[in-house]
Amino acid sequence: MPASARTALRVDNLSAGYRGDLVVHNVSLEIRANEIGALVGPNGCGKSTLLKAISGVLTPASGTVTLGESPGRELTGLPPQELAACGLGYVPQLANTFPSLTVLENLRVGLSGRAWKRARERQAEMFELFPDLYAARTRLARQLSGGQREMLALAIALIRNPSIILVDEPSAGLSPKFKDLIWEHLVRLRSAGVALLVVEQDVSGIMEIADIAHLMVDGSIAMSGAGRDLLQDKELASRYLGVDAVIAEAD
Amino acid sequence: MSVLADAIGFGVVSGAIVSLSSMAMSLQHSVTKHANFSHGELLTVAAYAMVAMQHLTSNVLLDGVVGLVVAALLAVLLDEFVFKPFRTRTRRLVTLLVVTAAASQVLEGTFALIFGANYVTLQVPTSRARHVGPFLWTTTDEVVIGLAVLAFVVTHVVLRYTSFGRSQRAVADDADLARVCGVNTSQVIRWTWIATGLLAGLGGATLAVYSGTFDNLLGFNFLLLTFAAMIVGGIGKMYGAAIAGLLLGIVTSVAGAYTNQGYNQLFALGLLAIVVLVRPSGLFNTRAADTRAFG
Amino acid sequence: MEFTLVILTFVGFQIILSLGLNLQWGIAGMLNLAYIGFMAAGAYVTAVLVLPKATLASGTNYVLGLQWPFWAGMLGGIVAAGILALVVGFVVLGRRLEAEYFAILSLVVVIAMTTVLSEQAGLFNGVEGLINIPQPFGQSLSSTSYGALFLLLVAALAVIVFILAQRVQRSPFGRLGRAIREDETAVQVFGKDPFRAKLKIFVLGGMVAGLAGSLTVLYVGAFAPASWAVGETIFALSCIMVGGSGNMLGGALASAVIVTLFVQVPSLIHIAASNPEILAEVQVMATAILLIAVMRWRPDGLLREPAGSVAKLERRGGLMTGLRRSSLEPAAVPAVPRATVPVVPVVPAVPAGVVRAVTAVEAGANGAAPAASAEPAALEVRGITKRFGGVTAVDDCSFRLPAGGIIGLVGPNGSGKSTLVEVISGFQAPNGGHVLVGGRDVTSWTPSRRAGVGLTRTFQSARVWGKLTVTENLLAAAPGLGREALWRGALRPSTAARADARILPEAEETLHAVGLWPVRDQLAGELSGGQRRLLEFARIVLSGATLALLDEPLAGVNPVMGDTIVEQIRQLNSVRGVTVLLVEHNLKVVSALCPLVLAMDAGKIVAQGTVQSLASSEAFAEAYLGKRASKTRED
Repeated sequence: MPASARTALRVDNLSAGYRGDLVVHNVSLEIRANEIGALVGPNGCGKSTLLKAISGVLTPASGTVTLGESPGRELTGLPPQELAACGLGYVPQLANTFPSLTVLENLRVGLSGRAWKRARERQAEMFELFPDLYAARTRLARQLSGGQREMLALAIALIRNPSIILVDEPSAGLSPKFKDLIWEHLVRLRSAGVALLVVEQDVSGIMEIADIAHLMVDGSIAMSGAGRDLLQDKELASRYLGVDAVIAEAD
Repeated sequence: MSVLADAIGFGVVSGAIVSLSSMAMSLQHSVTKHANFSHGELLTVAAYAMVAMQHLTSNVLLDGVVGLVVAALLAVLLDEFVFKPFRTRTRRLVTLLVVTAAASQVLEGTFALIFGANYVTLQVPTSRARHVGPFLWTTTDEVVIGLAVLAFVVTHVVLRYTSFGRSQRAVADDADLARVCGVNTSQVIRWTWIATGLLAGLGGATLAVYSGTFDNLLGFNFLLLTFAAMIVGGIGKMYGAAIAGLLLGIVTSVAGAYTNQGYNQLFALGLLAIVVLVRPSGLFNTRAADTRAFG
Repeated sequence: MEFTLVILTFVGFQIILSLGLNLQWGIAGMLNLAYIGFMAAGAYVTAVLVLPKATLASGTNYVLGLQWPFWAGMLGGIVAAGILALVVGFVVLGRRLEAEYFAILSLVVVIAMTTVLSEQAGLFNGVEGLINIPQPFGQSLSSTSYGALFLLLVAALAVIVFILAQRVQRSPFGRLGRAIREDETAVQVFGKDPFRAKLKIFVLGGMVAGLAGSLTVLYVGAFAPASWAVGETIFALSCIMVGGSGNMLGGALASAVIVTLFVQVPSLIHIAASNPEILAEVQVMATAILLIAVMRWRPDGLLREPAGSVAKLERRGGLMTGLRRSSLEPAAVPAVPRATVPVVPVVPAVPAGVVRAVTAVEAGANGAAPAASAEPAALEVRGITKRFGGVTAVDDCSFRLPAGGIIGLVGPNGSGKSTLVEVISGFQAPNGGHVLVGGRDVTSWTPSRRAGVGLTRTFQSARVWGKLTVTENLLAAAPGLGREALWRGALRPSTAARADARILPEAEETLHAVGLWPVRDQLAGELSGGQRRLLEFARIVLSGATLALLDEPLAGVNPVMGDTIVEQIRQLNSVRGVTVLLVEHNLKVVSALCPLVLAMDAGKIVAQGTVQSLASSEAFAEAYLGKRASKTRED
């Protein structure tokens, strides 16, 4: 469980939306170093939009995003390439690798823009973390399986040594075996010192490993708590589905 | 038989020039995702620059280098001040296409103002044709082919083995993701235009040497072959464009030899029409991907 | 005096040219760089038909020698241009090419035309072009009288073309063309065929260009390949853009101003003034600069694109609309309730029709043959499978939707819901299975053909026609019924307008019902996301569709507007009787509207029932929440 209390990312009263319609309303949350934060909720609740607003792909309507321990570095509204330089990584849900580049080249793109003396070292570290990728290192990204591509996407974000990575639905479309592999890797990343904010549809999967979890409904945070605790909470399912029903307990 | 061999030999040379032009266009299209109807003027400006330089030095190669540089300069200035403001402001692809077409007219008019409406002549050292295998080539021909091959190799090396090339291919694949990874996409686009200008300039220089005399429509008239090569090879695919360029050069030359040289462009059009209607993603495209270019 | 006549005549030519391009570009949004090719076709054919036989004295040896009277030559030129446009349009438009391909092809076509015409010495005298084309009115007139007479001819024709073009632009056909320009896909789901409309505009524009070419060649007496190319099209484009793309009057005015005043500017440059060839180039250059400037800083041009003439009808017929409005008593306008949908929904009292729905809906993959019902279902899906590459997006799905029913389709991202909608609506062809609408097998039908049997859909992001007003959106969605024929718009505009007017009462009532009456004259592109959704529903009502697939109508809409949309869907189904298949993530909404729900996961229908019963089902929760933590995991 979290050893350090240092803040990695803080979101204060963030609101965002498209074309005048707000989809995210006054959301505040905090992710600490060595923590996995989970963001779950039904589709259309705004979790992807929230992630886009934090990562600079979308400009927030109001509120702030701060990186690091207080007072921290304000990131609100900065373009994506600057955020990358500040130490914020972002793994989108789809289109998260470069299809016509090899695995090796994909990783190198993450390092471009600066003269990285430690490039080879970082590369080696990535291959240690993701051995499957090493085996496939000369293959084109579009030839990889879904699971391998997801790992590559994580590695691309990770290779720049960010302090926090935002991950958008890493397990989407993956088989159960690969899902488990993703959860394992996220845990390893946490041990390696990276904070993570993960948006997920597979609630059970992510709650198992999340230190802090938030349920978003209709653009606001409805419930928060430690992942495992929330998972046991009977309220979770009904709030998630929005109906007054009791989910049958599994044996 | 020797008619065929001569035609093929001729086609290789003209194909080399088409390759240069279409490689240039392909590079540009892969990052900007829109066609540039003023592409021909990049060739023309290099040709005119050579003519201007001839007043200073009669060394054709030196003149050519100046031509390349001028073309590269024009390319990057065009993008920075004319195209980019539209790219960032409009989501309609046709708007951008109209702008590039208008730009071509502005450039053609500028050339007419500076150099007059008549044909200009480039002094080219004469050389004798000799047989190289089955083909009949002059020294100029060989130089043109050599330069095209060199350009291809250099481009290939840069794309595959340098950090810039990798960034360029990343931006071509997915500009948003590249940004998220920290790539300065604006800079990549700028340098791609410079590369486009250099390659197109080389095409224009060789075309000028080849034609001897030309007017302000030199590059424009070459657009049919250039577009045909780019589309046949697969929009955005540099290697496909290069091969298709060579192919088109040979095809048009051979067809023209047996019918009427004036019609050889029609054969290129015919091939282009067939490819567009049957396989719009190009002959060399392994995926039948959607070629939606913009947005 | 003579100089004035000449200038005015050229103004006339340019006006005609601009009008034709304004049809293709302004209305339909087609960037046709080969436009001038049609002008050339008209010019050449006219010249060839009109020229006398070659004699030793004339020094030419390249003509047919038909020596037709000028008006016959003109007619021939127009027809030739039309045929050329038909052929090119058929080939290029029929393939549904991207706009970029279309532009590129048009460019290479014009380059090729230059080449061919330069080469065809036999017919067209190659690069030197045609010369000595006889004057239309004989040799006996003084040059001033001749000039005046010709100007009269040109002016008369320009006026005729102007009236025609304006009528077309304002007619229901013109509105259809503009809708196609804004969003071709949305046009298809209302049963209209974009290809035919585009082809007609293309040919019409081509013929107008042919007329201009014909007149030019008769006036100037010569025509050569080098005198036309992309530059002329750019010239015409800038006339149109300055005047306001789509506005015929604007285009005509701008043409006049540019030809008379603007082209004098390049003459200020000494080099240009002394050399006519350079002057011509620089004139084109100047208009190109003007074009870029206009597009950059005033893209709408001077005059806005006018809405169709029906809008005028509403204002002019103050008495009529007053009468119409009074017949709609306030009580008759359905109130839109603002009450929030209760969090704990009571399952709505099940009407008789729904009982049938409950019994008729089949289970998913292991579907036995559906129990035969007395009447055909509004929608039946049998064994639909759809694969993309190695991924099976939809896996053997079957279900029936009875007429008047409303069924929800839920499931997590990637479950295949949207793909299924794409297949049912005809935008994707399935790898296996059948789709039946009202008992008819529509599996191989195009979307617009399916609309013909009452099937329509909405899209995940609302596809409204942005540059049409809200009212125009409704009118364009309503069935054509001959209103939207080109000939009717051009030759019988009042009949077309009256046919439009007959739809107005229903449009008005629908606008009131969805709450969009206050914005009826606003451009649809200016509406908020929620308002666009409402407009989509209003269009469905006007289209007379009986079966609607709604694809995530609440996506990206704020909660308050969401309630309105829910109510509108309810009205659509219960009041207007439209059968609805509702794809939604928001389970609250689904449970409020749908007595019955199908749940999809990984391409299959995994469960069906009321939302209540589903929410208690293990499979459903698993699909949404993932496997429970307490279950043993595979290693």
